[in-house]
Amino acid sequence: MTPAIYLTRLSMSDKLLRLFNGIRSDAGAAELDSIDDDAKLRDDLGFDSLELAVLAVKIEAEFGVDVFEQGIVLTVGELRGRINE
Amino acid sequence: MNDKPFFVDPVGGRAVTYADFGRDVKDTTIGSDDFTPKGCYELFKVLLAAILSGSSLRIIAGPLGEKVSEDVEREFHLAQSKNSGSEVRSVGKREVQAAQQEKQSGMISESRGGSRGPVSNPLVADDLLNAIKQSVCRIGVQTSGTTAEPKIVQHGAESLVRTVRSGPSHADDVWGFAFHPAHFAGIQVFLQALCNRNTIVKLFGLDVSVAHRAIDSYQITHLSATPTYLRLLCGQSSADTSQGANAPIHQRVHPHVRRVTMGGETADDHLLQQISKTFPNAKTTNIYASTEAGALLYSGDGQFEIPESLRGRVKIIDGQLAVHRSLLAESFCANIDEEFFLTGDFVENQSEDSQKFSIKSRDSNVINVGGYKVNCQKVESLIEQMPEVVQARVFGKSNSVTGELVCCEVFATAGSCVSVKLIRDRLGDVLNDYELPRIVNLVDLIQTTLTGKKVR
Repeated sequence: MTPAIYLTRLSMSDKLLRLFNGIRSDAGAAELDSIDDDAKLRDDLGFDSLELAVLAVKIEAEFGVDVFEQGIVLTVGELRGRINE
Repeated sequence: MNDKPFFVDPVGGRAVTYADFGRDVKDTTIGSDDFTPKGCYELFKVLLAAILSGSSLRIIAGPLGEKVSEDVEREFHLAQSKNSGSEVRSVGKREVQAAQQEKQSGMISESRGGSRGPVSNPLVADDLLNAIKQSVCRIGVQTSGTTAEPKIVQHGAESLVRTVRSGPSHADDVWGFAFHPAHFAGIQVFLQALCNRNTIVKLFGLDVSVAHRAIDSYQITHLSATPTYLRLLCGQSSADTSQGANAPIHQRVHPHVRRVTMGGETADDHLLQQISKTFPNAKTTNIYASTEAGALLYSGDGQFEIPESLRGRVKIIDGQLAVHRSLLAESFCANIDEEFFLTGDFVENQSEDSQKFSIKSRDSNVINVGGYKVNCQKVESLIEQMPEVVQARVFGKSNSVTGELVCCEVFATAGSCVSVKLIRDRLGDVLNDYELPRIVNLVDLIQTTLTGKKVR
């Protein structure tokens, strides 16, 4: 991994973490310190369908991609993959 | 009598008298059918010229914004330089009040005091209202575009003045003009004021603080506006009258306003309470009107009743207010096949056999979130009751997960921060989870259509 790619990944992780924590905070849930790619959006991060809808809006605003347009996304890794497509 | 102010623009304190207005109407020729007014005065002048000459005119709403005042002012200056008799001067509160004392003595007669000498005033008429009714003009008015692309609906003169009431009891009225000048309701306010020789004070497009000052300065007695405008004007109005005109904007009280008329949107109980605090002596009337049908129903308490004269021609079909084609503008009527026109306004009866009902929502106010119907207007009304909120706009945003998502723009009180979490904390007990706004943006201005209604 080159330093440039490493920086890009870090930036996306930070942004995703900030978006996740913003939604969790609105719902009154504790903020996360970190996320890993295997984390499940519903089971591990606790997002219901309305929070996933908000996540879709915020990710589209941040990255310009509607990650749920082509179907459901289960994990953080899949989410990252959709953004990178 | 002809020195009575016809139109006042509070920005710059400019005014034009009835005599000047009569001359300007006479000098106006109607060119092409399509006309996009740049300001209130220009519309009044061209519209009346079209009516009195029996011409066709299509009024196209265009953006006015802050330029309205500048355009009117420039227009006055141009008139002054072109015609020395067309005076431009400042008219203050005292002059408007003095003019109010004059008794109505007929319609505009020949000019006096103008250096152009006596003119054959086009408005000489013993009964201007009847003269207008007899006109063969065709006036096209654009719909607001709240629920669809704006369209032009043509009216004859009689339909334009159907709601005008004239007589000595209206002689002292001073109108605050708060509609976009191309709005159908704005045209009706103009004609109501004109037929009673009342002064019109322009409020549309002014800052709230300037509008409050103008209502006081010119002793406005009648105000007609959309609920959206009144929400902004009344804000979080309190009943504290101790500070009078020095009170902060949100505490301004105007005891001299005798009537507040609303139209174009539904008004909730909270707004009615705000209005009663800001205008404690005003009788409040909510008019149900549309560009297609004109003014149809009136309400003082949010409950409309179909009057005896309209029963059978206005009724409720599948929960929706429906209007018989005989009540519609001719040009619009020609485009529909059905006997009744469904207005898109959903109503709620007090009881099955009751003729009384309240407007619950327009179909555009209802969005679908994950299969659940959400009434944006209901959510908006609750948010606007929060002390941190001056005005809100709730709307649906297309979403790939839930179909639509409830979003909200908030114009907050100074120093307040309104968030998704704050709204959830305050309204979580009265709204379902899917009704709570999930995206909240703080804005300096709530977006409205050209005619002053909130955009959905």
